[in-house]
Amino acid sequence: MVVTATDLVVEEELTELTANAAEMGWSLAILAGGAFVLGVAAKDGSRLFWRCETDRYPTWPPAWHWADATGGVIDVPTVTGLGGNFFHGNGVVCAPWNRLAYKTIDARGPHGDWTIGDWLTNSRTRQCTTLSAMAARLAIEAAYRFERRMA
Amino acid sequence: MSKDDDKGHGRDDRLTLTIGTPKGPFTANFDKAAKVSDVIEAAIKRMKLSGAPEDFEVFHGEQELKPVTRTLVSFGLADGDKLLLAAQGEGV
Repeated sequence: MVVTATDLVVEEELTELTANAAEMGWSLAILAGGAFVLGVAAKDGSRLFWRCETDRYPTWPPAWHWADATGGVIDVPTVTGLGGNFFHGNGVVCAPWNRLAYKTIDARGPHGDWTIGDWLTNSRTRQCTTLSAMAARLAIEAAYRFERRMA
Repeated sequence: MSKDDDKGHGRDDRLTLTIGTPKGPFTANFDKAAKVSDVIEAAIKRMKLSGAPEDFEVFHGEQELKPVTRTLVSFGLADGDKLLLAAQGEGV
């Protein structure tokens, strides 16, 4: 089996994310193929989950799907959060570091004006350039700005 | 795990904090009178984070530690507390 650059980057960043999750009380389940399910506490006392897929990362940003705790159910209204600037009413986490925010990738993506290969230099990415940084932003948005689930 | 040196301070003057960062967590010992901005700068240096201090914000549980010019003790932090250093990001 050939080890790719994506494999190496994801392995390193998942090690960091695993350590952060243990300290911060996040749940983290590693799936096959570099995917994982992240769970964090939400403002209403429940937990929010995302299944993150990392193929082609970091050339492309990862895909952060709203999910249930197992990651087996994704992108349905009952697991999709709303609130603040990130938890968009289109049903995706809206940020240049989420692949699903790009209309060229996902029809729900609000942004036809962003180029996916430029995500690291998109001014709105700022320093959210690692899996741990993205997870931290999601945890903060869940704790502070989450309002409700879509259904 | 890493620790700052004590440099003659009494133990009661210092706090050991674990800080989650974009490159994983680290543990360090800070003077209680240190500012939140000192924690950010320590994290950038220790974890070799890219970006400037103003690119980050610090949270303790449900509390954002700002302004960053305030001291750690003024936020009521206790020895062993865990902080989250988050990179600023813009959702749209």
